[in-house]
Amino acid sequence: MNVVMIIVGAMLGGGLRYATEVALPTRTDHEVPRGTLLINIVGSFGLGIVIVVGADPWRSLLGIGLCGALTTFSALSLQLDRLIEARAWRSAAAYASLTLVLGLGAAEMGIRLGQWIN
Amino acid sequence: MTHPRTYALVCVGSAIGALARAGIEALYAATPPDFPWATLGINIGGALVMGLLSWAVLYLAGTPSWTRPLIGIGVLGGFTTYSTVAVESVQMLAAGRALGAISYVVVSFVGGVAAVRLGHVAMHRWFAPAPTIDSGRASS
Repeated sequence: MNVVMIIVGAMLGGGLRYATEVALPTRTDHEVPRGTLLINIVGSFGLGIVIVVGADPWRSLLGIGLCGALTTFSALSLQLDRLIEARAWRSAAAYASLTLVLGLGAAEMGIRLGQWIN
Repeated sequence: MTHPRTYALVCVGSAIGALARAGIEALYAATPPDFPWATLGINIGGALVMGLLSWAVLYLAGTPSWTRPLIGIGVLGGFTTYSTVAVESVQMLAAGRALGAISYVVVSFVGGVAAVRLGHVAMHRWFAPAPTIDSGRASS
């Protein structure tokens, strides 16, 4: 574990996450938050690769730092709570299941790509 | 919204959150495909604080403007993580621990939303004891 690499990776990841949420804003109470969905899928794919091929310092920079800070669970929970509170049941169900299925699928693809690279 | 100061707060907060996450994951290391208690605790704990904070940002007068970018998007965003949940679930599935993987994602999602809600209810109890126009929204 490399502290400096985690800091650099996390600053990049957090900045990229915010930039994505600014670029793909949620305009109503009822829509699926596309920005968070996208970064959680992309980050899961990236971490899948890094977990297989990455040794330190790359693992700290790209895995714990970049992909760890790019993806988020606190915003996901808050957004799901807001959709439920707005009684936007279909969006809430779509958001949870898309995050789950596409996120785990992306992680699986990342792991396979990593194994192919190795 | 896209002010450089906001980005600076988000980036600094994310680094702080990620370091805290790395520390906890190192202390309570789970060898895959063990049940990832550390990640679960991080995510539900982060969601609880997000519940407290988002209520304060919406309803508590005098909450500073840096609270959301530094603590909400930054520290909590960098602390909690989805990529680790996805990778750990896939590793549990690959190891034949389907029941463990399913309980992990279900407890994460349900626990995360429940933690946000608990944070809202707690803030409402502490800071808005009298019925207000927001009472239905914050506590229902």
